[in-house]
Amino acid sequence: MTSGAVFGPPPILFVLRRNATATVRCASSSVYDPAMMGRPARRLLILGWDAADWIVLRALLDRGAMPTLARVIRSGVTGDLSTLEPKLSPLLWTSVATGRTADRHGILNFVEPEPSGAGLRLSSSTSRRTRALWNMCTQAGLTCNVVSWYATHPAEPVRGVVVSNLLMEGAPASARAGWPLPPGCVHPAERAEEIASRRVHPAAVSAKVLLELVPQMGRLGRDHPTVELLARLIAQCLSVHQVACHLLATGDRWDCTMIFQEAIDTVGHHFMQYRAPRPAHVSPEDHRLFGGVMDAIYRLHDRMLGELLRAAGDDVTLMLLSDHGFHSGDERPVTATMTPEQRAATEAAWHRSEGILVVHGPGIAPGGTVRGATLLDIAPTALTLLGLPVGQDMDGRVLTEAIDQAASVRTIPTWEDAEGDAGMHPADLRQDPFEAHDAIRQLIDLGYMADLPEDRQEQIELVRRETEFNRAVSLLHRGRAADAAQIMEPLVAGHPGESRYVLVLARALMMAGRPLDCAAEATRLLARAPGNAEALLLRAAARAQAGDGAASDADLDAIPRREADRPAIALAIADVRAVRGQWDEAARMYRKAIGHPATAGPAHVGMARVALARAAWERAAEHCLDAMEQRFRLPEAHFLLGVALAWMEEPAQAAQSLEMLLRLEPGWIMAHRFLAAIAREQGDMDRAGAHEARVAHLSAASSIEPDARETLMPATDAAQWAARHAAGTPGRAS
Amino acid sequence: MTRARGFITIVSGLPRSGTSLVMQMLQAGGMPVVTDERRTADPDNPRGYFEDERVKHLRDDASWLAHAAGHAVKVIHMLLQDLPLEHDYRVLFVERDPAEVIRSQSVMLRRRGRPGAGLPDDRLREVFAQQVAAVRRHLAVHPCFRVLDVRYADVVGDPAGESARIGAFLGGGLDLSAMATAVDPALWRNRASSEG
Repeated sequence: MTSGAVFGPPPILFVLRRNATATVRCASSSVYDPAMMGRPARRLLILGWDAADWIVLRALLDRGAMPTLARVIRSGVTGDLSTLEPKLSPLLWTSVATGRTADRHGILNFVEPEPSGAGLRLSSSTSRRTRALWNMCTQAGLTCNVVSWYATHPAEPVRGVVVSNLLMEGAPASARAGWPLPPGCVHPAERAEEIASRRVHPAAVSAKVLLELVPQMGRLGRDHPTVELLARLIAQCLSVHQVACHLLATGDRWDCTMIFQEAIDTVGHHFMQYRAPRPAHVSPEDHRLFGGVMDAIYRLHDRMLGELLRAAGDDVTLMLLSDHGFHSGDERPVTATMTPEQRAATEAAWHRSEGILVVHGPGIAPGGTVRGATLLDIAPTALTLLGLPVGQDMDGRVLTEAIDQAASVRTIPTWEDAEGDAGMHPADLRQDPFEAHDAIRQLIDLGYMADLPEDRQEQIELVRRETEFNRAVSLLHRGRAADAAQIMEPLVAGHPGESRYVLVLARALMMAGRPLDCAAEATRLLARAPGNAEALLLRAAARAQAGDGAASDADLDAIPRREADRPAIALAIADVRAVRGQWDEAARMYRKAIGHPATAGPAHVGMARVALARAAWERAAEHCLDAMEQRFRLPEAHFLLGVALAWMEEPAQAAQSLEMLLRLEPGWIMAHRFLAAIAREQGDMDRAGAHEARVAHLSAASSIEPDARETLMPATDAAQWAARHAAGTPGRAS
Repeated sequence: MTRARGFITIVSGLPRSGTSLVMQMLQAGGMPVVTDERRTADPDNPRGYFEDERVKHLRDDASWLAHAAGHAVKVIHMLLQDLPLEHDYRVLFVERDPAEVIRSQSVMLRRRGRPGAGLPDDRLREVFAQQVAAVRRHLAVHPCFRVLDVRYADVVGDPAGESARIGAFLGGGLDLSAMATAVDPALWRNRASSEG
């Protein structure tokens, strides 16, 4: 957990834009003060809009179609919110609620085995291994309401009301039929009836609402399958909204309310393909019929936001966020011709890396921008807004730049073993669902229980594999490549034909410093799937790292042309060319990727590398700034900017950029090396010593030698920078 | 005598906790037991299992229980939650040192040539404890269940005393002496040591 970081204003980015060599006033200070225990937010409303995306939102805001959100943004703080990997909603929303990555909080899939052996169920609250915001509030004596958040069934016995994500379970075909809530859906149980009565049955969704989504619904009829599908999705959305408004308006005291709406995502997976610009595979007729659905869903959310804020009252502080974005342009995957299985495997391809964040209300600095935020920062920030301490073992940071006063960022070592009632299930209910299933297997093998039907066993084994796969991906993306490889090796051994598994294993092996093993896995995959671009790329990178340049080049040359023209592949090819020192070819490929929104940021980082290799320091800095404009949370852009500034003989600004990087990525060894060298040159031996100690600590702790994330070239070698005067070539890398 | 009982006697617990021993005591005491005798005596249970295959499928079909009043039925812990709530049950819940239980299960799995859970013993022990706690919560909230805890070590150590306690819980009318005699401490102790 990092806390106390303040990014701007004025941001380093724009100051440097005005004058690359001007003094950079990048505000940074620690605001930790244990004496101050103020609570910036009197009441905090955390509203999740699954898959809400700035590209769609900004277009609607420009047209005046989101008046409530526009008002909130005018007096609030906005920013991109970087997602985590894998981009799967139960994992991501649990990270929001816990401030931890999925491998740590334990919700790793949409479904899990029933502990009774009866089959599968949605991932449940009993499988979460760490405390969520509602537990921390309960522990601290605050009241927290939760509505329909992922993985909250059965409802935990918190101080407040929990309505689990099984609110709409078992909706009968007829609106008049009985529709009991599942046991455990509502805490406290005596409020179940009043909650159940707020639900909207799909058949009760009004024609007016549906006509806003599909103006030509009359031509199709209410019983058209697509209209029925929409009615089901909207019923869920309206039900959550009505329950939430009811809880906010009942007059019960509350400190924090967390509401989750999934319709932008669920509707998007079906209807984003119809939105303008019309993709080639969508017929003009379907485009006319359904092209307006997505914009209408966003407008509906805007109206619901207004109603929620009215119900919550003027003194509420709002955190509105999405777990990831959603492609709405050329990057939209084409799933129309896929089988249901193929489609299911491709759904995550709709998700963009950048979600939205809007913070507004008492305690929030108006008009600001948050940069570099991730989903992991929400829980620490919410705790600070509520005047509660942040766990030092949380993975995110407090977004202090969003808070308008000298809020005290207090910390405690952890929330996990704090004494007192945290509103959690009894220990015996909090089970690892796979271990519980294994114990059932034991009873079956002993002959005391009937064996599971074969198809159910296969389902459970598939879920187990995918859960382990997700755990490995989560570990890989937080730098624990060796652990990821350890998980993936048996998976690949059992399922060598599953390309996704092989590719993740190969990537993990590469990051873990085992290029030869990586190349071997890629080779096995290529034997089955010749021309697989990702495998060729991984093997090329591995061979380059292992010193077999010719073989690496051969792999890159073998990538089919149509693949190499794809921006993501072009970017990866360029990265390998850069490792090989083939700077002209690298630049050519980076330029292919630079015009594409999804790859522009990393491509600018690549061009910065090229510029650094050519000792073009100012051009390198420009590319870093361009990269940050695309996406602020690109750690290497901050690193290379610091390096470029150092070679430009701007050590103070260089240090600020490197410090910024360390707030984003505290374990970046080469940044510490550079900062040590800068401090030594400035005569600040204490600071130099502190950074050198950090280098020693990180080097000892890292399983990666050297850290594979960091750019290795003469210009980024702190020792070379430090020796530049001695070599008589100031301003030039050797 | 036994027909007068309006409840179904359930003998439950973790597999290898001593449920067969208690079934054997009840049978010796004069209570009819529900068993299809498909699973016959073997080195793991030299006096038989006292099981009925239908128990494994209670979730799908429990209609046969309508005729089980006055009888004893062996139902392992995880299947107690499949018992329909319209009957009255007296549950003898047998508990044994978890380490002994897991050791005994391991021996039985080896004999059967089955892999089992594949979990370390300490994890398996914890999961079983969670299962038992969940089952006990289920029993506690449903008034159709009355529960008597029976400790395996007490049964082996004091067959007469435990027979009397069980007999009283079940409303009397059982041959307590025969129940106690059915416990052959030497056999059960030998079994425990061979499993060790």
